[in-house]
Amino acid sequence: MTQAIDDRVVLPPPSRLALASAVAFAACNLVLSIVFGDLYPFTITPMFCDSPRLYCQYQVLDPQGGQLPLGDFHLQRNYDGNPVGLGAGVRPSPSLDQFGTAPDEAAVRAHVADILNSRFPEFRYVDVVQTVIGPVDLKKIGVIKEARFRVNPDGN
Amino acid sequence: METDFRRELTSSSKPHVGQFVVWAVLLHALLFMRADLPCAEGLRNTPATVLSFLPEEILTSPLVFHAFRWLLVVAGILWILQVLLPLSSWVCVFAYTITVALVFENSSHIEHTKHLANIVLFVHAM
Repeated sequence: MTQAIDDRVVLPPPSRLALASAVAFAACNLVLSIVFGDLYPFTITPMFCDSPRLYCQYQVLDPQGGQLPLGDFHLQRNYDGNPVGLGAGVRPSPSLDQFGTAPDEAAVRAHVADILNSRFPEFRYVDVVQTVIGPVDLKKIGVIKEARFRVNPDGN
Repeated sequence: METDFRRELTSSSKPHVGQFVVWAVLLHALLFMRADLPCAEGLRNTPATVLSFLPEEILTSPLVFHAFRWLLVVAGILWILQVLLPLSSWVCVFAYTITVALVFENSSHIEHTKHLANIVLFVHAM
């Protein structure tokens, strides 16, 4: 039963089933999101919840100066604004790159040397460029550090 | 005056906006759904969706994915045309939820636009 008032319509009160469905849906959104984080179709909308302050960008160059795939050296960026892996059924491949942190040169050298030894014994060395992007001042972000270093299989 | 105010609060406007939203979200659901199941490699991350308890063979089955994807297409078109309501709307929500869940179960990165579309479809199906 509806009753017209001007151009609006007064609807009958919702059924108990409809109300129960709405309450159950809201409760699932609240409880499951808190317990599991992201459990599709329920989500905590986690984008940028870790509020990163800086990030790194890498380049790996072979002895001829050609650019090598970052994934081969586990330096690829897995971060897309959401906590890595949250809500996805497959964990992304491991990477030294953790959005929000900038590993020091020694850590990058050790990591790349390990991979050179285990996967690319044909390379005498690779050149690694690490660019750190973060707050330049209170209003701007930009490159705050750029380092280029040669990594041999022995880590030096 | 007070009576008019209460009527205003408890009355509903014509359903044009809601209908437009349903059509827009259904078109989004149909046009932007992946054609194939992704095949990201790596260790399993559970639970990721409400389907995570299912066996691996079902979660990675292209046959199951395409069955629900076609169910979504059929139910979505019926809902757009307002045929067989409310059955078509609920089947559409169910098929959309399962199809996206299967995509997420086989991905290493996800998009939260699908969560939003799912919520909007669920609310309008109710």
